[in-house]
Amino acid sequence: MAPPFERSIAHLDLDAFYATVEEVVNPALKGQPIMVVMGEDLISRGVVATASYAARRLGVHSAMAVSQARKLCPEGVYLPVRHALYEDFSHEVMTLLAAEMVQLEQVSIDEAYLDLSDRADPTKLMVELQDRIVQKLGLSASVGLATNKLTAKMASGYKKPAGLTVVLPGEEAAFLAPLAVGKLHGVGPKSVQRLEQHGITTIGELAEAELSLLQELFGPRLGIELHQRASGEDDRPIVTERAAKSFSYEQTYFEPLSDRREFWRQIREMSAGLEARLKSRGLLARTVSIKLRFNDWRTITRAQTLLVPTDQAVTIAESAGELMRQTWKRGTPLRLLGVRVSNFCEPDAPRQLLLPNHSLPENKN
Amino acid sequence: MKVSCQQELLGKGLSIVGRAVSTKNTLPVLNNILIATDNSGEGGRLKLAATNLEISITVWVVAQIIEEGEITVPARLLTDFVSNLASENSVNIGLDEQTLTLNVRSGRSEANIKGIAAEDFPALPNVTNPANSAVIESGVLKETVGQVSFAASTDETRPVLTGLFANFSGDTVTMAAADSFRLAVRTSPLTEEVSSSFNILLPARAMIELARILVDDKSLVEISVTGNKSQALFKTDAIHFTSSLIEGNFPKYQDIIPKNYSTRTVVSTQELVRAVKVAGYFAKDSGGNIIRVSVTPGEDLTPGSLTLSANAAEVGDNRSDIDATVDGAAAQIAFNAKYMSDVLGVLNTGQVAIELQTPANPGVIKPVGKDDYVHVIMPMHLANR
Repeated sequence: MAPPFERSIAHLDLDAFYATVEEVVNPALKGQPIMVVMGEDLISRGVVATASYAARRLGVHSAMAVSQARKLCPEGVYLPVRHALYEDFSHEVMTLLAAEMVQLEQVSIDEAYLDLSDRADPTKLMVELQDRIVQKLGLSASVGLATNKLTAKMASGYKKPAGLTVVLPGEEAAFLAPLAVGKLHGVGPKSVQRLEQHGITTIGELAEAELSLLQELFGPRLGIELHQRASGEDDRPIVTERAAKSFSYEQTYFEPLSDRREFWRQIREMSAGLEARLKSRGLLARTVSIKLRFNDWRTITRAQTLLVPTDQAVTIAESAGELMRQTWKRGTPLRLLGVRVSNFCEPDAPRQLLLPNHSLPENKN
Repeated sequence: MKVSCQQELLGKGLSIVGRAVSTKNTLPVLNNILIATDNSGEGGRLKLAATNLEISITVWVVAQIIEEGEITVPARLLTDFVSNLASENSVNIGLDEQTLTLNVRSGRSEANIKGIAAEDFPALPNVTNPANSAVIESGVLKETVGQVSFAASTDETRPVLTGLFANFSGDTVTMAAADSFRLAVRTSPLTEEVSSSFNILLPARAMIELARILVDDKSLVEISVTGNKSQALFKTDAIHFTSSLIEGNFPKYQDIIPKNYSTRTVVSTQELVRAVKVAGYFAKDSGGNIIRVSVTPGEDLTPGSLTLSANAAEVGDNRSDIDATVDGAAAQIAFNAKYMSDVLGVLNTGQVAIELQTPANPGVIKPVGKDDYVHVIMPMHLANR
């Protein structure tokens, strides 16, 4: 057991979540290579959101273009994403975790942090939770246990699927050291390149690098942060669900995508997922934003505040579509598209009513 | 170019055209003011002009012209320099045509300001052969714009709502503006009947600038509109103000104005302004900036009353009673404090009337004793009242 001043943080990550849910609701698919695809077009233009482990063994991975996946895995099962279905399963998992009465932070549809600092045996508890998730929902989860969020997350990805990796207090830096530097949170492909030029390819090398060099490469603040992260230091607290400030979906594209209709389909799908998420929490969102990442990794976000707070997919998608029209030049390839809702209010909060002129006929000029 | 003029006139002219200078434009010449001699009228005049491509302003300043010429120079620098000169001295302006440098001298001060050739200045919109025109008193137009423009939207995603709708018909003009929450409508007299009725949609932002420039007197403003409805020109003796017009159809606002009421409350404007201001301090932190309004009809010997209240859970609460003449039943409603103070700030009658139906129907605010202005505000919906 950790000494009292050490924190004990678990990161739980559901394995091949979308694909596994599809197996659970249709057991005939079990063990087959399954590709869950963003976009209605399952033949060519879509993008793989999740590939099952059987598909991964054939070389398919998420963010891959469907056309590419078809080449690697022509016999596979290609399914459209069903965000609302996955939200239901996700909600079940989170409810199961919340029943443990620990501090819980859901970071995405298939990931959560738990603060187990006051538990006598965090490892035993996490094994039990993994079991319970399999028994009740048929889903498998990988778990990382460490003294902070950063190391716990790296540990959960260390052995998948259904793995449990424990990093003991004091062992954080040693655990991270051999891993590729690109796996560290906040180190993107551009940064990897820059670091490689200075002979830094592993997290351990990053931790040992001169702070002055990192500050020169990344600026004074990020330089220090990267140095700390590489050393396995992270004191971010668990942010519980009630305090969540936004919900978002993102889709990355391994092959940059530039198809307008495809983007629109994906915006609608992500909006449907956001509707489910807002409704399950009983919240309305006032602000909709989009996130775009271009070929050169430049990433921008644009936000719009709605006249009336909403939990409706149609309204979220319309607003995101409007933001796209304002920011995205047709034909520009994207590496990532995301939709976010934020600025929440409760449905019974006071709200400003609208003039009825939205539906009125117009004066002719 | 060689010109001499009074510091005061030049300074005033520069500050007026300065309203059309764009601050963030990427085209450097748009940060400049065009200065040109003009012998077309009686006596000499110096023409000053600026544009941000949405509006343009031209001002003529009385001047003694010794030698003709034209140039553009940075607006900010010239205006700052001239405004700091002593007003009793005349200002002598000369231009070095070779270096495009403007020399400005007054008393014992002198400046050389580098310019850009006048040819590079965009052609200002010209409203010749207007399809429609109208004439209105300057003070009336200034007040009319002031009473409606604040209700226009600033959200560029619905451009028509950023406009002031103006309908010229007979010997009146009616201007209306609405964002999605409120509507302001004012009808004002023209000095002569228009030959045929017409509608235009003016950018509210541009009209706010125009209202700032207009003097509050009975001098005349001539309004002309191009045939394709792309530009409107507002012309006074010494100023030409043009604005591009917004395309699109303004909502049929007449249908939004409630035709009847169940409660009509008349109160002193001054007392209501004060009560709204005080409630606003508390409403600010209430999440939604909410002022609750409650109307109680009078009985035989007691007068009716209007009660305003606001409360912010973490700050405290406030309540004010005002004597009121109430026609109809008791009523309750909640409004955004800003919307109430905005409209009260532009009313100049001693009393105002508030007309209400239900807590979910629009409320109407009108000046008492004048039937030229109507303001409609949508209430706040309180689920847990």
